Amino acid sequence: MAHDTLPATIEDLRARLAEAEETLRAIRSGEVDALVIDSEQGVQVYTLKGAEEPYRILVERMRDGALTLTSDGVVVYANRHVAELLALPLERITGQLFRSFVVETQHAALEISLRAAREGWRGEFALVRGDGASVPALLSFSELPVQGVSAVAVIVTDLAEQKRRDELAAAARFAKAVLEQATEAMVVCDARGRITYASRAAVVLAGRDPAGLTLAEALPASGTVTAGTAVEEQSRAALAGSVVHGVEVEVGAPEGRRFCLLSAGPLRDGTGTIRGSVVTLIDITRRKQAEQHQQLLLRELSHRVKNMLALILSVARQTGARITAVDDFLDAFEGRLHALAAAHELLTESGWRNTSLAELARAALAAHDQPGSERIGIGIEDLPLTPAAAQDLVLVLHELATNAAKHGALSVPGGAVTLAGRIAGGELVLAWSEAGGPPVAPPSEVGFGTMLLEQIVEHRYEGRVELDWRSEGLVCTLRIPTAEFAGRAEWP
Amino acid sequence: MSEEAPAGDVAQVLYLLRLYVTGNTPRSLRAVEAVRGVCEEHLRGRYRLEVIDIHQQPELARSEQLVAAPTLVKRHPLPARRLVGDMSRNDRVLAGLGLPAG
Repeated sequence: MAHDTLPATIEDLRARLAEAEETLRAIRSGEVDALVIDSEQGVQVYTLKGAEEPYRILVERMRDGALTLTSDGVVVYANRHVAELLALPLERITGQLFRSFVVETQHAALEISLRAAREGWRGEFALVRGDGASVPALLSFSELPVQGVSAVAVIVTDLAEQKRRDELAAAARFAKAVLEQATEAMVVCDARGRITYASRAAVVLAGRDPAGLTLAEALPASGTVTAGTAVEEQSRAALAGSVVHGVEVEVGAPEGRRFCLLSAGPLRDGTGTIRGSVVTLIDITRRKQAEQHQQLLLRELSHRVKNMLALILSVARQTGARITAVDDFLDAFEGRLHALAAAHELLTESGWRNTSLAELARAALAAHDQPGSERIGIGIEDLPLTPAAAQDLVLVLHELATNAAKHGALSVPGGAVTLAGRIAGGELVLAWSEAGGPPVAPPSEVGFGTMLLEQIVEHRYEGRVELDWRSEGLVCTLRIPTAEFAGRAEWP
Repeated sequence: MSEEAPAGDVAQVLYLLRLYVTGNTPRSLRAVEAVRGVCEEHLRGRYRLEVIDIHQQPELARSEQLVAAPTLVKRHPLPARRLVGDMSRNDRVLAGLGLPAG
């Protein structure tokens, strides 16, 4: 050892000596919990008195049962939970063979388990309580090395309680799943009326997760509320203890107002105290809309039947006013009714909405033309017509065609008719031009057809009828303001 | 040469400490509290304290040549120092860490 390092070495040795003396002092004066002995058997920790106390408390308060058994299966220690589980005082458990608390049929299994404790072993056993009842339990065996003495530690899990907990949890999960799957919107409110739970359908109805909101905030009442009470009021009534069944309400959902059937009732806990309310909303918007549509249709149908009867009556009167022979009357009347029927069919097809002028013209004139002959040429700028206008126009076209068939271009094989239509300056200009028929001269008196044209076009629609009795054929020009005549919006 | 790191760098010296205890005995709890308290007061931000239960990790106790618990070992900076027993007195802990008292 070099002389110059000697002082440092001495200093180091002094420090170590001081440390060793200090350690001894600490041990002598009881300042340590454990001594560590490094022996041939490995490190052994000798715990001094009192050091294991916290563990004792920990084990004593465990929710599971804990036992220490000798290798022969005698109970050396059992915690409080074991005593509760077996319904026996501790002094009647310790010192006893553990198998005396296991059903006899499982004694052999218990022996095997005790021997297998070294590897760690677990199994289900039926324990016998002090009152003779049996309790299912999961026993976990493990070796407990206690300084040279062989012992077995057993953890006891009460399966009955575990099962109850599992069943409760499963029931809760199932109930939640049922609520989630329900097509009805279901909302649970707390005592202050705040939503604490909303089913998936309720979330969809509100357009967001309404948790934390009041019902009035989540689903505000919209428009007239059928039953005169808002959702919020019903919920409050439920909080006060009353039960509401199937009240129709209208709520303002983000997608637009919805009609719902509301049921609400108080949510009581086990003691019967009202803790909140449960509100169910069944969306009946579709049904409601269908009902409304049906009512509308019924009213409309009744209206149309009345109109149709009035129209038929009017046609019959006007036809009869000019014709005295019954056969002639029947012919003319039948023709007009057929024309009306054609218009009616078109209107039915379109659901009594707007009808295409071009289609209407083709339908009205089809009866007067042979299929494939194309004696009537139609070139029309299309226009949607209101149902009333369609009925009127079909009569007009029928009159023109009937007249042509009787006296005009359609009365001879070579004659032809063109119907041209265009829209100009807010007017529909329909030009009926005959050609190739017998020579034409203006009639000596105004016929029914002309009167009908004038009545419809001039009086009903404030349009004009221009009749040009040219020798080569009649040209009838109808100018009808589109304002009253044409349908709107629904036309594509 | 001084036992500690050069004076100019004292504020930057990192301390690596191990406290060996016996589970959660009252003495263990007091030791952990006291050592942490001293470290927070004197070595804040520049120490790492590892608490080791000699029951759970006896092999660490062996490598440290431990004789009793609780023992506080200063592993860094050198020289290594150890303090055995009562840790509730700050001056003892400071001396164990090689820090000036007060």
